Amino acid sequence: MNRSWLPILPGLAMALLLGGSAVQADPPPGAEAEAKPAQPSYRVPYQLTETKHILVRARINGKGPYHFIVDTGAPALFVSTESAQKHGLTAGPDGWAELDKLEIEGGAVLEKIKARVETPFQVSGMNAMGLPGIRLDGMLGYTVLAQFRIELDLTRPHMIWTRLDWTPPPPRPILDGGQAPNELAAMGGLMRLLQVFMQKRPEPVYIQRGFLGVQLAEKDGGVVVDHVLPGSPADKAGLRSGDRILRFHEKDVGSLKDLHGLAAEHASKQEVALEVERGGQKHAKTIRTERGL
Amino acid sequence: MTLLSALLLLVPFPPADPQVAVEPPKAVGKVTVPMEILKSKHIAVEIKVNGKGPYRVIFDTGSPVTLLGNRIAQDAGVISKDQARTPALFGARGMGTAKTLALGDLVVENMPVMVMDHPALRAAARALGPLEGIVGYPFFSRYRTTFDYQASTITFEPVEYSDAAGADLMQMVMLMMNDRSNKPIQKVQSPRTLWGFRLEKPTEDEESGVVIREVLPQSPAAEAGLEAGDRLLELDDVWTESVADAYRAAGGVSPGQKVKAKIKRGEMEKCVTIVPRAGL
Repeated sequence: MNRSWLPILPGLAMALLLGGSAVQADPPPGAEAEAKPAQPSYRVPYQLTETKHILVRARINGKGPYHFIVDTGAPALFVSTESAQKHGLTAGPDGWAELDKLEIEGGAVLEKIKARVETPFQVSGMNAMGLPGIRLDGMLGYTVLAQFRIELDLTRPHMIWTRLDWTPPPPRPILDGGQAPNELAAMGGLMRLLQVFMQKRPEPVYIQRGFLGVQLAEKDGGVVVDHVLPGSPADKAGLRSGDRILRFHEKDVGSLKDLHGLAAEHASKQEVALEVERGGQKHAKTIRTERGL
Repeated sequence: MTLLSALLLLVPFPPADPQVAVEPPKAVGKVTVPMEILKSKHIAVEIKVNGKGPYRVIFDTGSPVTLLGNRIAQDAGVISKDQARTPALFGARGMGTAKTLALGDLVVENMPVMVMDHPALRAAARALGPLEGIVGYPFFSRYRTTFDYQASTITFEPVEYSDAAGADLMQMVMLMMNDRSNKPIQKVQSPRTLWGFRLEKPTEDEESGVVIREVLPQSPAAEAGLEAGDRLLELDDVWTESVADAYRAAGGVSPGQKVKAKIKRGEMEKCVTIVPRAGL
């Protein structure tokens, strides 16, 4: 198997501002104020795409949410041409649009911020192939990120963004008024060529585990039903608090971790087959799951 | 497929890369390194590869790979002189391994690296001085990484992250090319917590949030005062625009954790605290 053409897919590495007028991003309102007692901090939820990109959602002028890559390798906020068009965001002749409001999931809001309306070849290529498993609308680069102290820990479900009390200097294009260098043009061309051979993968389908309505606890090296919600599927199937769950779809259950692993494995099933122990007796219980959390 | 075949011929390539074991980061505390903000507003840092360097590279959270240019890859012995001389599109040599990659006091062993002269990097280097590679996901995923643009520093604290090898983009693309069924990927959502509500997002529903259809008595949702008919707008700071969003939010929550939920009842928005329990 020859995989040799694939190095042209190093993902979203490095987006450049190539030409256009030097943008003067307006200072965010209030940024010049005297030192405040504490800068606000936000828990920013993110998703890791299949391509290992960090995806954060944001609303633009109240619309969205849109999907953005958190990209220290991008000099500004980029909104793809397609997404901008679809939602009536128009750029001036210099390629920049001013957003009244950029609202980042988790609560941070930036007002009067400029966005580059452009689709870097990395974004178009990945979208065309459906590689990330999610549609990308752009990138959050320097002009957004530099306004925060950003903590990223992939073992936790949120990033922490703390507002900084300064006005980051605006980015400048590195090649004034010039054209994209030949290699860059070649790369863009290759990405487009690749798209011809790839079919767009459809959006992912979510399979949510069924709802039983039991509160569980670990006890004496096993899993015990702590409480059964009245009217829940577990209640209807006759599960009671104190029941010890021995097996889940014929697999032994020694811990909550085991049980949750099995629940994920059998998420698409409409029925859950349990073996429980009650008063020294083993019982088989079949629970018809319902929708719910 | 002729065009693709032609494309394949353009790039010679070494034999398949061996699977590289990911080493956990050496036990060090917090390490802070300076970052240089380039005129282009990219972040540059200095790294050493196999003890050679320092080399000035871009630090890029948007890069799923760590990338070395041919010059430093050869200099550090990641590729041989002969390999470096073979003509290839963008000087692409595929994946290799750096025995060590050091950034300040941080040393990562067996770092998977892609060797290539990235055109964007070369264009930037012409304007900004030497830029010899990109440090990406396989590096920063091993740490709690804090960027402070105002102080021009990055701080790293080791974490136990199990998936630090990085994306095998090549494998993903190959799989997709071979899979002609065009089936969507399936993602299982199986939170470890019991909340006690049923959520719905009717297809014609254009309003923000999801509808809480049912709240079970004696459940954490009931104890938090939620009622059927409320709209759930946010759960644990996640915008719940779909039922899948709510399950994703719940998936990040541990039993017993106090979780903020923003709901809309009639025209009133309010925040409540839910404490979900271990359960199903």
